[in-house]
Amino acid sequence: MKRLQQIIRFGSPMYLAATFLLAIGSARSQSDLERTLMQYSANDVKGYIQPIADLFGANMNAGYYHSAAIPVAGFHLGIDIVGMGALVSDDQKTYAANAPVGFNPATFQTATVFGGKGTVATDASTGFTYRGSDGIINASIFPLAVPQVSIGYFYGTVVTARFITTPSFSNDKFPKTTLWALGARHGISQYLPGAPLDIAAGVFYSSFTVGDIIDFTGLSIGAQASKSFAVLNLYGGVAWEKSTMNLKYTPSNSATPAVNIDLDGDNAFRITVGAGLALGFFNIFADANIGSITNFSGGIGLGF
Amino acid sequence: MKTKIVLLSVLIGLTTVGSDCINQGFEVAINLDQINGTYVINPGPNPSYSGSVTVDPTTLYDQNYNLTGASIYGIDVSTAGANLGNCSGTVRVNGILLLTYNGAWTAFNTPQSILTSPLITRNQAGITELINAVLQGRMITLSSSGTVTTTPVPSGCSVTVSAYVQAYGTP
Repeated sequence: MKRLQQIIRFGSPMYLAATFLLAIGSARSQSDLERTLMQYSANDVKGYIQPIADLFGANMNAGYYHSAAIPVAGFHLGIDIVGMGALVSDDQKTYAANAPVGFNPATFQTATVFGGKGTVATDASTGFTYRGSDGIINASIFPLAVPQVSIGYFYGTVVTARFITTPSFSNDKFPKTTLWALGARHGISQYLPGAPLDIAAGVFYSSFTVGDIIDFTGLSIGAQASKSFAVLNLYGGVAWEKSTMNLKYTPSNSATPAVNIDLDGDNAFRITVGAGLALGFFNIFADANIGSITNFSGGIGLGF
Repeated sequence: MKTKIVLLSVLIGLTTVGSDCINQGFEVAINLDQINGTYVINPGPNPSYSGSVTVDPTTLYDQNYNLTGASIYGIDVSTAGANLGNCSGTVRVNGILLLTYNGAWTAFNTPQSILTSPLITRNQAGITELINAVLQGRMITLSSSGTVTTTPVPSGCSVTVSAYVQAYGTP
């Protein structure tokens, strides 16, 4: 409640988004997540954490635009709060984990980070047991929210940036997080007089660091189109994208080698369909993103 | 003011999405550092050997966890050094028989697993004691005694027992 009162008092988009990230993204789960990951070797951690690489990667590359109209010249400043949510599918809640060498069966199905209770593998000959960790995150949608600033227009180009950093606190129990992204879109319509749609193309790079052991990077290259009808704006696009989650840590078990692995997000291509309402300086928008990972983004913003 | 109300509404909506996102009381599987006991066979004409190693189990895992359970998922017995014929012996945990082993010294040059090797016979009472000692944070004394058939024993010969324990706990 105290936090909510602070939000009301501050009321800025940056603070809102930062608080949101802190509240759901890092406050408890990340510290516990880090400690949980450190129980795993490089081979074993992949199945457990891969869904986060897939879903967070898809979220990072969402919500960069809600219009393809980019004039050649003029001043534009837009400030948005963008929320994203990737759907957690049932097959992302379990994975085939390796049982210890010599166990029969050699693999068993257990919870990922999005799963429920970890399951137990029982060796057929000795009755010895080995179990997987429980899932940590119980959600049907994996969310993210970021503030976003767009500035233009420079020769038909608009630059978009995202940035949030949250300090560590409570004796580092909650790790520092930093998210930033930078990209640019260029209006193509200026070269196509009479085109029925506004068309643009853009590229975005993003980074998200959680504490000392998790780093995400994302890259998206795509083309967008939009059409305005009074206050209604319909938009869409296609994009090639890549996201990578790097895990780097020393496992708690002293006999396990240090881990430094990259996990690629599942999404490589997306189709976006969305709509927005422009009400003076205020706008609201939402879109669906279809690819290997289905996610949604939407938000509100101020712009002129 | 209207903008602030809208912003706040969105924030509350988003926060609601995330409010149930942590599985309360989730348990983490913790692979403890392996418990090793190496028993050196003294050089010379004596074919017998014995020894013990004491381990504090609380030093084997991250103390941020409160343990709720434990299990053993493997025990290996291995030998090092020149061929001493046949070796046989017992391993006890806190005085309770954990396992017996018996076989060719050279066979044990490749670690033999309690999971798959016919050369090792486990004793459930010892397994239970090892699990309980980890769970209760009691000191673990792993002792072994045995004999070899070839003497004199040259220097550099030893028998090693490694126990693999997994615990579960809440952070």
